[in-house]
Amino acid sequence: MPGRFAHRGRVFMELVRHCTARSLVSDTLVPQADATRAVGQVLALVAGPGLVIPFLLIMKYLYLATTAPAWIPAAVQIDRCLFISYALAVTGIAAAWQWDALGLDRRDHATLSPLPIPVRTVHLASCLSQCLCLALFFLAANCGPILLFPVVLEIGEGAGGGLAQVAAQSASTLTGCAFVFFLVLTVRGILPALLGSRTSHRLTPWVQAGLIMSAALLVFLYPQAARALANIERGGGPFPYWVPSLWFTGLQEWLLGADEPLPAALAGTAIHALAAVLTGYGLTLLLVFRRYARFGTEGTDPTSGSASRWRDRLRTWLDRRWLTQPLERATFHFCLAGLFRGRRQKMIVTGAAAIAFALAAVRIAAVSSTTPPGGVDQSVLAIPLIFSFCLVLGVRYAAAVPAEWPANWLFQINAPLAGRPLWRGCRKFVFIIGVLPPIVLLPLSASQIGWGPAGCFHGMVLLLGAILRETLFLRFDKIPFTCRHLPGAVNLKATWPLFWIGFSAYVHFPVTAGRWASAHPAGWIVILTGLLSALIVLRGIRNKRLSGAVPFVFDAAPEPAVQGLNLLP
Amino acid sequence: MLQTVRLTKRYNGLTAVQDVSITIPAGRVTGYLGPNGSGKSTTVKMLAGLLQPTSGDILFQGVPLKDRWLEYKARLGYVPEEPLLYPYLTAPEYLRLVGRLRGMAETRLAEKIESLLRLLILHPHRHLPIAAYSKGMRQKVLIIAALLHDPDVLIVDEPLSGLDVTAMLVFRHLLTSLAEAGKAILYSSHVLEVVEKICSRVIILDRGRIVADDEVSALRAMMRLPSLEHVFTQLVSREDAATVAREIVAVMRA
Repeated sequence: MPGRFAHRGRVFMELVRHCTARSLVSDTLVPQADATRAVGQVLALVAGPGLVIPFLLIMKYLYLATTAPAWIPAAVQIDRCLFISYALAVTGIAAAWQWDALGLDRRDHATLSPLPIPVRTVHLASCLSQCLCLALFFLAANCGPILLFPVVLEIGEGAGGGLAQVAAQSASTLTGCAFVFFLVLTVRGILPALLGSRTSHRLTPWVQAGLIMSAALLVFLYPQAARALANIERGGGPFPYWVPSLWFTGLQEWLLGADEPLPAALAGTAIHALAAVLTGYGLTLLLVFRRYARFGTEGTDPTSGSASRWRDRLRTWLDRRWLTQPLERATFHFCLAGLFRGRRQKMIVTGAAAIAFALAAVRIAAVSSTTPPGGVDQSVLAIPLIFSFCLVLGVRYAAAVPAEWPANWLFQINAPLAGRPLWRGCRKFVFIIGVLPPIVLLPLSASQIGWGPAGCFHGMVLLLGAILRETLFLRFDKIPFTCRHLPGAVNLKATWPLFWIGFSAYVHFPVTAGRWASAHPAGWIVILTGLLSALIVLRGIRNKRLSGAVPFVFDAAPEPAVQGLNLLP
Repeated sequence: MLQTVRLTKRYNGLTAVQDVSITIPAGRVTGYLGPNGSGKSTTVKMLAGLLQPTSGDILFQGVPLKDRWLEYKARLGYVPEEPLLYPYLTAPEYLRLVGRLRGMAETRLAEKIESLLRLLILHPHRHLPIAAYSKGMRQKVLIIAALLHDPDVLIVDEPLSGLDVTAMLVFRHLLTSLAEAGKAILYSSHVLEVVEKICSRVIILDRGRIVADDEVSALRAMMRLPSLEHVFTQLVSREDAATVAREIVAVMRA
C-alpha cells in the first residue's frame, strides 16, 4: 500500500513539473527556441522595475524627511499603491499572454490520455501548476519591492515597519495577484462553456486584448489612483471602489493597523472580490474537467471561415486598383491572412492596440481635469498618434514571429531576390494595419480644432506613421511571418528606454506642431512638406538597399555556443 | 484480446464511425484500412482512450472497459497519426516524462531509453530539442514512447509516415516479432503494400462502416483479385484512378 501511494505521488509530481514547464514555455513566449533562456529573460524583465524603483525612492524619502516630514505617510501610501498596481498589471498581462499555455490543450490530451493516469489527477496537477505559475509571477514582480521597500522607509522615515511591513505587503500583493490571475483563468474557462469552442476560439484574442488593456490601465491610471488615495481622509468618493489596485492597497493599510474606515472598507472589498473570483474559478474547473473528459480532441478548426461577399468584393477592388503586381498581391494577402489567422501574431497586434486603448483612456480621463472651457486639449490630439505608434510597433514585432516557420520554403523557392514587389506588398500590409486605422479618429480631432486643421493633422499622422514604418522596417529583410524568431532578439531589457523616449517624442512634438499650425495655417505646408521629404528619403534608402540585391532572410542565425572576445586582430 | 461491439461515434450530427465490431487477437497484426475520412483514426482514438464513443462497447480480455480503463491503458502502447510532441523537450526528456508517468523504475527507464535511442539512430541527436527534429525522427520518438513499457496491446496509426527505408524495414520486422511474442497489434494505414506484407488479417472501413474483415488471402480468393490493392479499389473506390489522373493533366495544361 505505501508503495502504491509513493508511485502515485511520483506520477503526480512528474505531472505537476510537466504542466508547470509547459505553462511557462508556450508558443507565444518561446517560438521554437531555447526555452530556459527565454523564460529567464522574461522574468528578468518583469523583476527589473521592482528592483530599480525602490532605489529611486530613497532620494525622495531622504528629501521629504528633511523638507516635509508630514507628507511622508501620504507618499508611503502612494508608493504602496504603485507597487500593487505594478504587481497586478504584470500578473494580469502575463496570465492573459500565456492564456493557452495555462491550461491543458490538445497536445496534452494526445500525450496524457493513453497513459494510465486518472483524468482527475491530470487536472489536479494542472491546478497546482497554475498556482506555481502564480507564485513565480508573484515572486518575479514583487521580490524586489517587498524586500527593499521597508529598507527604503527605514532610511527615509526611520520607521520601515520591518517584518510587519514585509508581511502586510506580501499578503496584500499576493492576494491581489491571485485575484487577477484567477480572474483571467475563470474567463478562460468560462468562455468555451458559454459560447462553444468555435466562437470562443474566434473571440479569444479580443478577450485577451481586453484583459491586457485592463491590466495596463491599472498602471496607467496610477496617478489618478494616487490622487484618490490622497483624498482618503476626506472620504475618497466612489473612485477607490472601482480600482482593484486600491482595494489591495487598502488591505495593506488595514493589515498594518490603519484605523480609518476607508482602508477597512477597501480591505473588505478586496477579500470579497478574491472570494468571488475563487468561487468562479472553482466552477470553471468543473466545466473544464467535463469538457476535457468528454470532448478531448474534438475541437473544431477555429480558423475555418465562411465566405463573405463584401470581403471578396473588397479583395477584388484592392487587387485591381492597389495591388497591381502578382508578387505584391501574393505577399499582401499572405501577410493579411497570417495576421488574422495566426494566434500569436493576432495576439501581439491586438495587445498593442489594447495598450493604445489604455493610454488613450487615460488621456481622455485627464481631459476634464486639464482642459480650460472652450480650449483645445492636447491629450485628445495625441490619441491618433498613440494608436499610430502602438499599431506600427505591434505589426513590426508580430512580423518577426513566424506563422509556420518550416513552410517558408515556398518563399525561398519562389522569391529569392525579387525584393521590390515583395517589399511593396509588405509595406502596403503595414500601411493598412498600422498606419491607416488612426484616420477613424478624424471626427474626434475635428471636435477640437475644426475639420480643415484636423484633416491636415491626420495627414501629418499618416505621414508620421509611414515614416515610422520605413524606420522600423528599414533593416527588416524578411517577409513577415516567414523567418525564425529567436527570443531576446528585441532585447527589451536594454532597449525599452529608447522605445519610451521615442514614444514620448512621437506623441508630444507633432501635437505641439499641430497646435502651432492651427494658429498659422501656412505652417501645415511646411510641416507636411518636411515630413513628405523625410519619407521620400527613407524610401529612397530602402529602395537602394533592395536594388543592391539584398537577399531575404529566412532563418535568424543563433548565437554561437562559444563566444570570443575578438581581442585578436 | 481487444474487441469492439457496435462502436459508434457521431460529431455534431455527422456519423464518423457506425456499428463497428472488430476483434484484435493476441499474436497477430490486424490491418485497418480505409480511404481518407472513412473513420479509421476515429476508431483508433476511441481504442486509445482519446475519444469517448457515442455508443457501443470496447472489451479488453472479454470485459467491458468502462471501469477498467486504467488497467487497460497500463498495457497499451499507442503511436498516433499526428506527431503531437512538446517541441521544447529533447527526445530523452520526452521519453523520461512518458516513462515516469507510466510509473517505470528510473534505472530501467534510463537504460531502455538509451538502448532504444541507439537502435533507432536517434542517440546522436539526443541533446537537440524536438523542434529541430525531422518528421521521421519525431515518428521514431513516438514509436519508442509506445514501446518503453512493453505493452500487450499496440495500436499504431500510420506509423511509417516520414520514416526512412531502413527504419521502415526495422519497424516491419519489429511488428512481426512483437506479434510472435503474443502482442495484439492494430495497424492502421493507407500503405497497402506494407499492410499486405505484415498483416495476417485486414479490416476495411468505408464511410464509417466495415466493408470487409477477413484474412488477406481469403479476401483475394473470394473476390478473385490478384492483390490487396485490387481488393481495396474494388471495395472502396468510386472513381477510376487513371481517369482522374488524365483529368488533372488536362487541367494543368489549360
